[in-house]
Amino acid sequence: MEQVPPKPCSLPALPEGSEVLRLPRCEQVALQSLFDNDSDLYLAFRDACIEQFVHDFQLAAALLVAQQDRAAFSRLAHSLKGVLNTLGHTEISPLAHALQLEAERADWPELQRLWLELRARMVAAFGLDALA
Amino acid sequence: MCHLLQNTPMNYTNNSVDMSSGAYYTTLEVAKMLGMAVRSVQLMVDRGDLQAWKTPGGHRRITRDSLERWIKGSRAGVTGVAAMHGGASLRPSGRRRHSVHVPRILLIEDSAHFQGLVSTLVKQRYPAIELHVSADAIAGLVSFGHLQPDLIIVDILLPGMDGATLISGLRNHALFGNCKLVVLTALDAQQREPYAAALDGVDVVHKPRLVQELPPLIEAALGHLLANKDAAEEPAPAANGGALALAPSEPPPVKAKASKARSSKPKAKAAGKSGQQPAG
Repeated sequence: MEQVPPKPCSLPALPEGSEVLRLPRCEQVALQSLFDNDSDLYLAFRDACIEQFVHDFQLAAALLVAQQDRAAFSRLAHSLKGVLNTLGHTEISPLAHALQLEAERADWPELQRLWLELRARMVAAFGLDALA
Repeated sequence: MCHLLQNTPMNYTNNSVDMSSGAYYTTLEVAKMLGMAVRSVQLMVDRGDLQAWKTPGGHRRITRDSLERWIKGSRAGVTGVAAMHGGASLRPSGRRRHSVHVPRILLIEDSAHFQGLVSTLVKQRYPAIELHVSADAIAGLVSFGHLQPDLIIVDILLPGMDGATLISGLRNHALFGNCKLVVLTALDAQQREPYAAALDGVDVVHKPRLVQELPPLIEAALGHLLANKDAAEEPAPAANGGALALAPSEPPPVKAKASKARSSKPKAKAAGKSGQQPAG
């Protein structure tokens, strides 16, 4: 008997709409499993997050230059962890979590390295302007 | 004076009413103007939010100036509607609507991302609810006393104060009363362990599941107020020039309202003063 590959859990069918179909698979799963297939809400949240990421990047750059406020850096990483998980990017969120933990103890060059890694992944995942 | 009491604070501060009748108000008069309980106004006086003197019989007389300042201060607040909470409003027809309790939520959350998501969700599904946002713990505590919300949604990790301390502070607040509390956090169960005592008996929503888990908690906390308000409201006129966006009768099905969410993007800046707050 031929094996049928299991469907990814029992998620509801994606709502119609070309914009949804263009989303990465991980985001489609988040839309189905975390947003009850409310594509308008998901896409509105995603758009707003992308706008806010620019401010997040600017804040991170400023914190790394000043090298003073570890708590703020930790909160920024914590926020990004939650946002990335909510958007479905569970493959990137561990980087944010690691950055959150390291923000309390690592030296600043190490934090810079971790941040650039996270930032690059976010730029690639959301098609952001790498210069932002 | 009777004429004055039937006007919203907005009309009041716009000087659409003759204010020359007196420089002081009784506690009851102020309570009616603000749509608050007399006890709440008494507490505002005791806290120094309003200036007053006492008659030989011990009754408070509140200065008009301090009331005006308070109203202006409230209207300049996070979402600018504090002073109008529950007040009567003037309809285009000229008829006046008596006070109804507008369900009110205070969100204490420093992440602009989640301020936006909660704001969009509430607007989309519960347009009758007022949502106010504070971006840090201290501002949240101040807003709590000021706004006296029916439900408070609070993040654990906030600038300014440890989450457990904040939650304890809220619960011990003189005005906490029947206010409901929901904690919103990106911490997983293991990471929440240090906060176990503070979170005991509190509904906790994990941020990634916010869209699914928060609405039922809002309904559980405010459903009775929404129902009361629906009953008290007459069908809203098409063009309500009043300041209160008093609402729709019944939250329509989510999907039917969804296009609204798309068209009005939850820009963080739209969620409150703290729009560009980064994280938390």
